[in-house]
Amino acid sequence: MDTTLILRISEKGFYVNIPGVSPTRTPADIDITKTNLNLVLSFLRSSGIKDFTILSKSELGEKVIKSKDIMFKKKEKDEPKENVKEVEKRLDRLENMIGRLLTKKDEGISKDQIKNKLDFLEVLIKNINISEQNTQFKSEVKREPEIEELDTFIPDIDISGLSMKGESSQEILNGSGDIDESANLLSKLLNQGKRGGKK
Amino acid sequence: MSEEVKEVKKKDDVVCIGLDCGTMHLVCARSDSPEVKMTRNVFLKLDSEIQMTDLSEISYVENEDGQFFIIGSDAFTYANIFGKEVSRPMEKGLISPKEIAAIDVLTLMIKNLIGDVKGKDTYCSYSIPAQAIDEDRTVTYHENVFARILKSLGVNYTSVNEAMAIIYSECAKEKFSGIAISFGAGMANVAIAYKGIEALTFSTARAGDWIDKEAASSLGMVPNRVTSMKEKYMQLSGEVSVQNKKTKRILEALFYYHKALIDYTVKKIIKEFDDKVDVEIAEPIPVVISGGTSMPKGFVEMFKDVISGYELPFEISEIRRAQNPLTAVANGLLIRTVSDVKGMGK
Repeated sequence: MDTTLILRISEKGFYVNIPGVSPTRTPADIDITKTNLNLVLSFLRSSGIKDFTILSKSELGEKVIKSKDIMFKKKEKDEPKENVKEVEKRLDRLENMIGRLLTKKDEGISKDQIKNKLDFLEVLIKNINISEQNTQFKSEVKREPEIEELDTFIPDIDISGLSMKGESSQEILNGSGDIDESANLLSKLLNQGKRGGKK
Repeated sequence: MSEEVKEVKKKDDVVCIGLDCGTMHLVCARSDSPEVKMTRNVFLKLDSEIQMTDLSEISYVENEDGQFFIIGSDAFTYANIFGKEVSRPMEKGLISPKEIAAIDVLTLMIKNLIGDVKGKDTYCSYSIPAQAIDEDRTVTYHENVFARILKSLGVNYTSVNEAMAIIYSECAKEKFSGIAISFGAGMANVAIAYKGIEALTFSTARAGDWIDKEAASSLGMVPNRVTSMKEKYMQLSGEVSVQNKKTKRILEALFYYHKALIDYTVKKIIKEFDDKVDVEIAEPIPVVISGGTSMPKGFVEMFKDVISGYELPFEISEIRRAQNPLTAVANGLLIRTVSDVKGMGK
């Protein structure tokens, strides 16, 4: 059963350059059948494209998945994390279901049965997004390594073997008002904290 | 921002510095000089394809292995001549992951820019971008690389948000309340501040380089060439006095991408403000536009035109350009350094 996936972006003015797909300008319908869907979604997210539709066309008909069903939902601060377990359970059930479906393929399963299963699958996919958001949130928190770890990772700077010739900089008169006056005012306004790093 | 309190010597022995670490330019302001020093943050490695017989007229760095790196504006000029891409220690506002080896060259450029600080207590605020809302890279590595560079040069350092530096430089008369937007090369940085305290900072990964890249891609050109045309001829209002058809096409493409950039940034400001700012800002605040990308004539007018099409969640008193968009960040960083040093009782 061949399925074609079409990404439809109606908003004008974007330059879409998804790896593996010919670059184009929007509005456009882009065939993303052979492209990793995560890659496509990641590109859309990084480009700030929020309004799009994915059309899934197959012999069984056409399905429309709107962007609001897939991504860019606001994170709910109090989203319960137990959703992850619930979705894991559903994934297990889904795996079993697909397994059974595959073993039955020679027994002449009807198109209606396949359609029903796929409809159920679509509902599950929508629910998976909740767990994806929770996972992303967790990974965002962990993504940044500790400063101490980074500090040892950044190589020591050694310029003893380098020499510089010529003058690469230009000088401009700083005509931006009285530095001291502004600094005094700022100093009064700011609740003076502690001063930065050590040489 | 870590801690450093040091026994400070008498006033003449203390030097305060503001160092703007931009994708396209490095800019340095010193408390003991009325001038701001600026250099292009690019270099060009001379390889076997590029043969230069005379290096006397250009600035370059030579390493132990006899390799040459043309630095600053000269790198840009020669890259254009040879049809090469310059190497950039920074990309999209942060230390480039592709140019890790360039950190030593960058250190030498910063050393040259800061100048002589021997025997002086030197305090420096250096600029860092805010976390981008449309890209996953963090600023941590970038912040720490510059910290290490300044440490290696014997300078006391602290990092300061780039757009907040514009507030310090340009909004003294509003007691450091306002919205600052720095349209740089790699990023657009935004800060919303109220009486010197930041209410919101964020950045987007779309700025001058994005304009150049998109325009170049539309016209099938090398981005360097588009950048060069932009800096020579670009203006966003009035008649452009170029006859060459190809140049006209480049400028036309650049015009549309400038508008798209402003529109994108304004949308993000509104969204971020709506989502994240809880403070009620009672009085109208100014919007200050700065950064190298805002240099073309008509940029501020185009910004006013675009923003007038939106309903804003705050009231604007005026939209104005920084006194000098290229040096405003360094100047604001210097103000912050002097303010901090004064706060230490020096």
